[in-house]
Amino acid sequence: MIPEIGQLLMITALAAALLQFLIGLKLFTVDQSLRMILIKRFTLIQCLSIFLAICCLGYSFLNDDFSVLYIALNSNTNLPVPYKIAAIWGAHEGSLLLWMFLLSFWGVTLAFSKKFNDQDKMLKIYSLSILGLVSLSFILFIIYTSNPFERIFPMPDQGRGLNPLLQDPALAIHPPILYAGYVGLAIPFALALASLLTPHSSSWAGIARIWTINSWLFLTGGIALGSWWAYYELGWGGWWFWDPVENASLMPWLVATALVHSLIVTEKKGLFNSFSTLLAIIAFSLSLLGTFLVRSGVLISVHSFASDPERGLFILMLIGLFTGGALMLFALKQKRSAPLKLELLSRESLLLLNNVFLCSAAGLVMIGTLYPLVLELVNSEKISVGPPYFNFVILFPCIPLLIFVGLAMFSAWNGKGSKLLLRSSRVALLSILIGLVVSLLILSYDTPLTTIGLILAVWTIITGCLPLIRSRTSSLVKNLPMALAHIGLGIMVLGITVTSSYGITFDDTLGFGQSKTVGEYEFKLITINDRTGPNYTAKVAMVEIYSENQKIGTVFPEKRVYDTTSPSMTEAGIEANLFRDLFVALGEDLGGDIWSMHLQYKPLLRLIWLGPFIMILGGLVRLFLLKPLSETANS
Amino acid sequence: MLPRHRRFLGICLVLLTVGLASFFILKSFQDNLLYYLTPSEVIAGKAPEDREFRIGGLVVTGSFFRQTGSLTSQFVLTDGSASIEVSYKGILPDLFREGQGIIARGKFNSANLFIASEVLAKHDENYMPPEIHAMETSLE
Repeated sequence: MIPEIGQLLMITALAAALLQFLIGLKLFTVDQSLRMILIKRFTLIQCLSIFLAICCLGYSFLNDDFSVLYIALNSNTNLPVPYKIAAIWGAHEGSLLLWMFLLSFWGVTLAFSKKFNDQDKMLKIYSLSILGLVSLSFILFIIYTSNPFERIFPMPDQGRGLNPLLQDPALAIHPPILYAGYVGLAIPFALALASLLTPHSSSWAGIARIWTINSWLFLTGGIALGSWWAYYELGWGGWWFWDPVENASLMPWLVATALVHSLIVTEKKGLFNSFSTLLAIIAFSLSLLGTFLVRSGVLISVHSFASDPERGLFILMLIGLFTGGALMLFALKQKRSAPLKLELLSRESLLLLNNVFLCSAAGLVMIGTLYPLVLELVNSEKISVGPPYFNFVILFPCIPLLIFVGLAMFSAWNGKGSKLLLRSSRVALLSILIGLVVSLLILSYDTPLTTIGLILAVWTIITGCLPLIRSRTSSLVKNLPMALAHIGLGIMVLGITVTSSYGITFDDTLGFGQSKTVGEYEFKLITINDRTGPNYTAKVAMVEIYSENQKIGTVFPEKRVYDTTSPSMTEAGIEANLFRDLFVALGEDLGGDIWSMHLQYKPLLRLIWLGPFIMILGGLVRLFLLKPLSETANS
Repeated sequence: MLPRHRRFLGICLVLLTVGLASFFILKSFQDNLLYYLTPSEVIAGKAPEDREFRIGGLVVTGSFFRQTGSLTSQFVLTDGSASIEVSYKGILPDLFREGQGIIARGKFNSANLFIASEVLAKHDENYMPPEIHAMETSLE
């Protein structure tokens, strides 16, 4: 019964989305205020229906209703309750439902936003209508190809259980956060298109910026969380693998970052309007591409995609429809602006330059991600593009990017270049000095790249602090978001540089009572015991870690076997503080009480996640502290 | 300097940067492409020399060998018609089994033994490297 109600709610949402779309078109002659009321109502109805549909699915999960195919495949009676809830988005169908809910939720926040002036009524109506079209297509997609409420007969006695990899707190909240970021980019997309249809409205940039920052926050958090999860759960102790699924989230992040900056110029100076519009279109298209890559099965094999093409083809068509349609609209309706006259090193040009670097970074990632797929499709040749490609080419946009990020802090709107170089030279020299001292004297010299990375990290952090040091207390809060975001970036660069240059990682054998040296640390295997968890059995090793003969900690790496699936899972043992991570993963029993182990020492690894955390703080300050400030300033 | 000259110089500079960057990127792309071959293709001499590539095949049942307490293991990969002996020093993935499809990345040493620097197996029931998936479906 409950699943059927869920089904009905999906159809209600479909109808609401259709009406939401149609009302925005000039098909009916209704007056504007009535239109506004109706479109807001339908946006709300759509969102509520999908929310209730998720509740229906959750209810069936909690009651172990295995007559629903999706639940039979992704849950069983032994699954702990929190993971039964997380299992709602544990696989394809449910995660699309969540995707859809978040899309409609962002739509509601836009519909009831007070950011729109009276002149911008049409901007709001058009953007909600466009969002209605996006919702419409995705609800259709869910109902036709990925219905989570589908029943099976006969009903199995027990479900297959949730993938053990996903039974982890960080991964349980990772998809909702990442999806919120992905679909949040639909809002600037809709606003950008609506602005093309309402030539007299100029305030789209300011409104779009709020939602772009919003989804940028979620993307940043989601990516960082995913990286952290991969680090401790996949058992190899890496924090970024250049896996297509990771790349799929990195590309929209890079373009969303560019969009946030471009919208600043559009909002404050009225420049780069077309560029911002284009970036908004690209950002959302990349979100859709990410969904396609992750959800179509195309990554498993181009050919498996061809043999079960329904889902992938549907998303591919949607990408074509939205990207193609949006670009067409852009070509037809874009506002012709006066030819740009930019000072070479003014703030505007530096922002533009950095946006170009961010976009080229996204482009390079995209080439590496899609090229193997295209090649396999064209001539069946199988290749893969390894991490060395990404690690190398990403430097080309990123090094100049970091240089200009710092330089931009000295620049002024429409400012002259000569003053800029003069003003920045002292800080630049200081950064180079600190970088050299640290890399040559404090740490041991590694490669030129390490030194460059250290200099750039110091440069980014110092220049990030400047707006706080120089500004009067009144404008301190105003400068805080930018400062925090840039300091966070610098800290992340510092972490990446030091970890990749000075980290030690290797596989080795350890017998009971034996120890191995990793850098300045000693890892000693004491013993290995059996343990029984709620739905798994495990081998647990006890490894003591010594530094200069002082015991600094004990870790318990595990090898788990879950009841439902035969393969074992590695749970790493990690002893961490802000300055270094010591990591042990249990390998195999090699016989004779000797085990293989994966050991590593990673200095400053935590900074790679601390950096994004500080960036997120910056964004939160912008959204929640600055808003009331600017409103009181206006009144 | 006339504005015209300045613009010309600017364009040249941009073209030079873009050209240089694309050169390095393309080169890196070429260097880091990993070819995927089956044991038959390797026997037929398609393997690149002096650089790593990937071989995919099933681990022959009974071929797995490791000395007690040693990190180095040896096994034979086959695609049904040809087979290749592989040596790997390190931890094998959780899902490594005899009779299972795996991918080994590495190159041949002078004794014609394939020295793997990485071994990939199925991630879990649902996700696996594309080549393994293709291989298993073709052999079923």
